[in-house]
Amino acid sequence: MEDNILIYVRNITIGFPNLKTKDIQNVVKNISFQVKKGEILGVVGESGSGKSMTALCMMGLLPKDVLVKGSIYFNGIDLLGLNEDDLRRLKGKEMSMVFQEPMTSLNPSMKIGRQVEEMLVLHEANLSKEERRKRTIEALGQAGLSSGETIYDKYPHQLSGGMRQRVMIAMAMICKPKLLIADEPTTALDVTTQAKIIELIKEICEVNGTTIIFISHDLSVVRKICDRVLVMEDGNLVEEGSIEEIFTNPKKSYTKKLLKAIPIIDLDNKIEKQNVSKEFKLLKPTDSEINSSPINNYKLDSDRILEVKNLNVYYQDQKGLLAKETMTHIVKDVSLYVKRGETLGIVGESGSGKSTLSKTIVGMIDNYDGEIILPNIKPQMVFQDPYSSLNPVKKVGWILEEPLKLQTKLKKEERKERVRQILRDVDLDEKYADYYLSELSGGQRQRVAIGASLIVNPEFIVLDEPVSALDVTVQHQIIELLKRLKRQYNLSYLFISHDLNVVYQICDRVCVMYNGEIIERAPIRELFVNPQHEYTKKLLKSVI
Amino acid sequence: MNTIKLIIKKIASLFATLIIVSLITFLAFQVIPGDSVLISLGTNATEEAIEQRREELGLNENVFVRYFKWLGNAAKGDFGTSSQYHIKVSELIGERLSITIWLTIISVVFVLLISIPLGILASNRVDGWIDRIVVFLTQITMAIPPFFLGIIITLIFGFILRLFTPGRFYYPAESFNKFISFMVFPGLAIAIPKIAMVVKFLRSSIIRQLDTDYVRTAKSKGHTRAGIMYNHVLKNALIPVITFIAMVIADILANSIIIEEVFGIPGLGRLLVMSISNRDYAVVQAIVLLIVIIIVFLNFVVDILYQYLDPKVRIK
Repeated sequence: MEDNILIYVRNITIGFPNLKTKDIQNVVKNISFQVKKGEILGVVGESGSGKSMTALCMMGLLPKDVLVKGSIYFNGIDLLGLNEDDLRRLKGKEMSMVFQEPMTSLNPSMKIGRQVEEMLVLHEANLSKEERRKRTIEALGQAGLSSGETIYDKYPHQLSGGMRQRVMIAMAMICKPKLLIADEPTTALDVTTQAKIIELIKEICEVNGTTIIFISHDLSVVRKICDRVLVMEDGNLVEEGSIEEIFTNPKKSYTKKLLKAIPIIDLDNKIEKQNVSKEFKLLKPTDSEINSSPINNYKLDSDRILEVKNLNVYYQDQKGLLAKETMTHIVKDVSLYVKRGETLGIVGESGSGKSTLSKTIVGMIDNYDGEIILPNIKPQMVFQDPYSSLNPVKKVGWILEEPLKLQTKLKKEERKERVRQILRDVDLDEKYADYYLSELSGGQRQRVAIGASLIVNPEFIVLDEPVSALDVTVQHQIIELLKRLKRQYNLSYLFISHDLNVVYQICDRVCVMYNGEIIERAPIRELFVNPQHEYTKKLLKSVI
Repeated sequence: MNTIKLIIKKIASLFATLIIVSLITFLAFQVIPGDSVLISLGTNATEEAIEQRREELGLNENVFVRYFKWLGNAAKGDFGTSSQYHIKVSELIGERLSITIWLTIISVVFVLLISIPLGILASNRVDGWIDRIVVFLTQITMAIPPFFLGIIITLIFGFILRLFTPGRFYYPAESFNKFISFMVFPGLAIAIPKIAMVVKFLRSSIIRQLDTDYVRTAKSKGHTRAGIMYNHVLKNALIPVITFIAMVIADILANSIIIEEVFGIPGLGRLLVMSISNRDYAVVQAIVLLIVIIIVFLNFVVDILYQYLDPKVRIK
């Protein structure tokens, strides 16, 4: 084997035994690849393509009953041939991993410092207690947590997602491993945080001479930091090549499909830019109209489906009898409107107040002042995570039928027919009425959630991060579905997202929220071509 | 600072609970049929004698006046006089309470000492043979009522193995060792079904924790199985179990009433049963109040324990 090869994966097949049918389902099918020392290798593919399974296999983190064939050489050692103890000595010290879910990957009842320090306790037992503490604070500092001293005694729930991911990185890097596997490390984070975390991973590994395997479904991220890419589909390695080869000259149709699903925002096109400016000028008066319109006009303009005027939303911190009550001002003096047939996007990071705004609009929060003017039919809402927002112990048919039982006087047969029709509308087979959510994929679940919101014939739907939890290709399909339904049912959307790429694909106009305020509003193209506010520029920069 | 605030709050709610419960029990005895005066004097008593006794006991006054009088005295530790034994309730309860508390403590010790290691052992290798045996045993023992277990234990340990003499109870003052070695058996009878419940609960709690992301992180750090169990899983798994154990302790206290009958132990439970059938209100009220105090206090201890176990609770 060549000296500069760190990882050599040879003919790996990973099979999950199916308890019902007794056969083995292969999730990774006979793949081989190599990783050179010091390189950053990207692994892309949709969920279920086997990319995470391959990573977990290298780390020896697969469940016991999983069948693995083939060999993985790490620095010349066959990992699959090692006994549990020898493999354990490598884990954390020689190779470590950062996971997708920073919110749950840390032990909730253990202090941050102890969790990071544990690495040293396990692998560098000769260090004294003081040395360990010093190293831990250093590592936290290196991961951009400058106040390492205070973070040391914090618990995970006291930190934001981005900070927790930094803790995970500090933990993974404290023993200066030869290999870092980062499995979708930024998927759960905000765009601006995403960019910072990716920079951090790249930097910290450069300093320590660590090789990175970077797993992601986000091709634009992979393009930004990787040297080489593997494309995986359905357990197979479809294509392998340098970043340039893959992105400029993809050979396989699957790779092309993946690349197509990345929204391309071509801002260099000057002709388009001019057109946009015209469009912007045409729309601009309507935009300023809202601010000058008389506030006490309770009647909704016939072309508007929603009007929000000077909305302030507060969150009351409940501290019990003895503590002083405090109010947090979450949405600050927001005015906006949605025209019939329009999709208004609201963009912002988590904590910007965009979700609170949407919840207030659909009537889930009472503690507000200002005006919300809506048509008679209540707006429906679709949430980010259909699995936790729909009842998991009920069948899809029941979930779809329930709003009809509550809000209409349809007979049982009519309701069933309507359910079948809605399933067809969201491109699901009628048979899914008898399925449980756990038997559906993420995309299919979101189709059910959209169906449930459509079933009472609303005119206006609020979509709160409806595609954030989905793969790029599925995202694309759901967005196309939403567009089609909008035409078919003559709907208007309020579309909330942190993902500017997604917003670009579906929205007509956008409001950018920052710290509870709308700091910029513009037609979509205008926003991308000519952002006014510094924060918007920053947001755009972290996307493109 | 927060802990002190919490303690003050809890004590305030403890008093509120006590007042409400005492009022309810006081009123309950006004509506149930039966008369303590009739029972203590016998059915042949003359009208005058009954009326005189009623006047003595203050039973002719308004219910609420009597309640507040009782409450005022209770606050001073005076729960009145037993109508069946004609001695002070506080004296009557004193020694019996300590016996019942000993019985409860012995049962709780059994529960903790056996169920926690067993729960860990079973969940360490789910569906392994140890796990299967433990699950099988918990399934069976959970279904046996304590009084029946008491009979079986008396039969096996008392008559066959002769490890104790059934019915021969020793007061702690007579011989503390003999007292404990007798109490072990009723304690076991109460503990066995509870052990089964706690094992089942802890086992599923640990299994749930083993499936979490932070355990995967711990594995990726190069922890041993045992290291993961003791450093990461156990503390998180015990958080819900502690609430459950507090409920179990309250239940053990309630169960001791029946078991005391089976084993012939002169504890609070036996006194309660006799006092109810003799309409000895003063005694019943005092016992009910005592049990409520103990249960509310247990919950209070659990809340304080949570402060130390669950950092999310601590912040509030």
